[in-house]
Amino acid sequence: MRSRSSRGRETRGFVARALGVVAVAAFVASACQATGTPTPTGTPSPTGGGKPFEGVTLNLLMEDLTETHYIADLLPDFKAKTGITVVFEQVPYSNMYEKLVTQLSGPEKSGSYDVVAVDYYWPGEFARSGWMLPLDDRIARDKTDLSGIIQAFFDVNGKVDGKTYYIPYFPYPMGIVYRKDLDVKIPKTMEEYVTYTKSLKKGDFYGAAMQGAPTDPIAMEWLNFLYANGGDLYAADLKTPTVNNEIGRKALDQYMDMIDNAAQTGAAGANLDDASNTFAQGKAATMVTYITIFAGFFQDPEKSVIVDKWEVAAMPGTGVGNVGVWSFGVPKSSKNPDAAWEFVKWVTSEPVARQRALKGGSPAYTAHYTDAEILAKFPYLTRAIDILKAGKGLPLITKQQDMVSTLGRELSKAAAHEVEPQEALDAIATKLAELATQ
Amino acid sequence: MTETSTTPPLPYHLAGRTRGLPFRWRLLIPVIVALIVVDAFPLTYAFVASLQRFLLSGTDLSRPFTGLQNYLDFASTAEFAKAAWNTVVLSASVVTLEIAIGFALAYLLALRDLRFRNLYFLVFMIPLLLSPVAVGLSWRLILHPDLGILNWVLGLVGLPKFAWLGDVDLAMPTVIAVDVWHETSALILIFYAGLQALPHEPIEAARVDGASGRQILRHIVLPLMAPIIVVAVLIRLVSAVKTYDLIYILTRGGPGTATETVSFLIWRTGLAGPLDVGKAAAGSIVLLLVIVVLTYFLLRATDRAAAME
Repeated sequence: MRSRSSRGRETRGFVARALGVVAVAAFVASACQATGTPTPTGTPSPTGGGKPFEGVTLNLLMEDLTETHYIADLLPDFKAKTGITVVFEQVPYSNMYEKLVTQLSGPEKSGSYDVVAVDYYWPGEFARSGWMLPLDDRIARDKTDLSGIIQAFFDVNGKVDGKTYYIPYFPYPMGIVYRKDLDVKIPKTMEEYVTYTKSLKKGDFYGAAMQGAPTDPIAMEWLNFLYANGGDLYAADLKTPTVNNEIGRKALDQYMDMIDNAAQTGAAGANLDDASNTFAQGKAATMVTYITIFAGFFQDPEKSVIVDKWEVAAMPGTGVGNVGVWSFGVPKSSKNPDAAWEFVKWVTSEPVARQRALKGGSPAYTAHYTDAEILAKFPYLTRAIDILKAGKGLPLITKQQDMVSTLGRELSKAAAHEVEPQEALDAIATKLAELATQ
Repeated sequence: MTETSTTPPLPYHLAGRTRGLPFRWRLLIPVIVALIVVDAFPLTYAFVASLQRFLLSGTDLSRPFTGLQNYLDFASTAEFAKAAWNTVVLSASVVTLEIAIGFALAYLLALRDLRFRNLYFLVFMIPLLLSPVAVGLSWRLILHPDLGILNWVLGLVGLPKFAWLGDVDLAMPTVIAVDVWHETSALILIFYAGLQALPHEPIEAARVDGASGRQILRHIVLPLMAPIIVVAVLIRLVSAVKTYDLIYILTRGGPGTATETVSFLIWRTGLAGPLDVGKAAAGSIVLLLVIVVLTYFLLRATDRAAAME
């Protein structure tokens, strides 16, 4: 029989051990800080000669992909010109948002990142939360020429509520890549495309490589089906969801039909890398994907067996695909906003953008799509510009990331046959109506 | 006798008593400060946050007091019910399998005449050295339906391709299998150390009395190992209930919500979309309470096992 004192020790021991596990439960809150709306800063950057920012180091969080590598290759030029050292922290895309928001929501000049690369479903949230510096005054002061950039990109990821917060540098239009060596032809309508890809599925060869995993992969892929059918997430007022109307339902039925009957085994759990590898290894006839980002991957003989065997096309139906745009902005939490602006000016300038395009980057400047030297190396860009012009971004509501997250979660439930398609669309519409008010 | 005016100096730890705080408390100060910073502050912060409307982004960042609304909102959804069920299934499965496999392998490794013991140890310890992220990424490649080695091997014996992570019915068993592969190593180590520390006399005596290997295992080894097994269950159960990283890498909770755990749902609520820190904090507190209750019952079981010993 145990004594009272031993029970007491056990109780104290239990309390001590229990305290040992309490911290883990608080991991979300401890990662986040209270936030307020910082006030804008506007210290003019020196416009004279010399290197006023000599010795400054800028830290950036960047997605680990080819476009980032192209910029990294050019950074020695920037350092030679300005004396500024730029350090890239390269992470997978899926880690970027949570790393950014926990930094950006901190007090002014307290963040780890001096410049932020902003994907096209973050601009509204970042700007309206008061995290970003408006750049209009700096653009005007330095007479920065942005006229060569495709102006529609500023509507997707540049301007919020009439102010310029971001400079676009890297569009990534979505369309279809297909096997031209197998004489694959992309039909004119979505109905025909679904039927066609189903007919192409034979044994281990699939009509389409698809990415049905939650949350970004399926959301990004399905938006192409929605837009190609003439649908949209909201009505023009950006308040009334239209995602669950008959067009949305048709788009989801088509998508699920392809996941079940045209796509590779396990497509409902496949992410972008999985699907890209399936296509690159010659296992699929078509794939809805980011046509410019993956050009380098499909053309790399070490990673692909379809080098020179593929072509790009716009989505069937309306021809409208999902178009994403990456932009650079300067957060209020930047410790070096003026040096950061120098970097943004340099990296988005036409000469630097052209150097990136010559390496295989996705150009934001109109002129680069007719540049003979660039087209000689990357002829698919002649078709990419049409896809870009026809494409559509995301509705510019404040909580775009939440919108994509909701889309991905509910669509994945439908694709996995956890819920009926209409049930998933209605759930999305309910959430979109709520988000429109935030 | 007269007292001398020069008393010998007290030992340092006793001398400390004469100047304010007792010495033992002074030794504890760094630990107490560390606990406050690492445990008490985040916990208090999370608790306060759980009682507020606390959105990380948006046009209205005010944080009014909302009472228990976040708890009600978090726990009343179908997503939470599904995530809670998934967590129960995952935790119960991995703990049961890992304890059974870990003990069996440790027992085999502890056999006296085992050859190549060090080689087996090396092989079994490899997963222990890998981070969950590396494990998840490696297994994603292995499990790729078309390009992964697992389906290729199964194809050699005429089996069809399986969508390990893309099939609603297969995804959770697959996650459980990967977790078992990764986490069993640590249990082998714990059980092997326990087996090595067992007294030899009862086992030798039983052997002299003609007990079979199975009888020795059942009537001597297992009872003697009971406290260690309970501790191992406690460690793994608390860890399994919090499973997040493997889900994040392998399935993102999908397909649909087939593998979404409570920890993953908390992350998704707090950092992946809504940025609803208040609701995520409420979920964290709920999870904490579950872990504390589990810990309490398991510690009581440990005490009982120790008393039996």
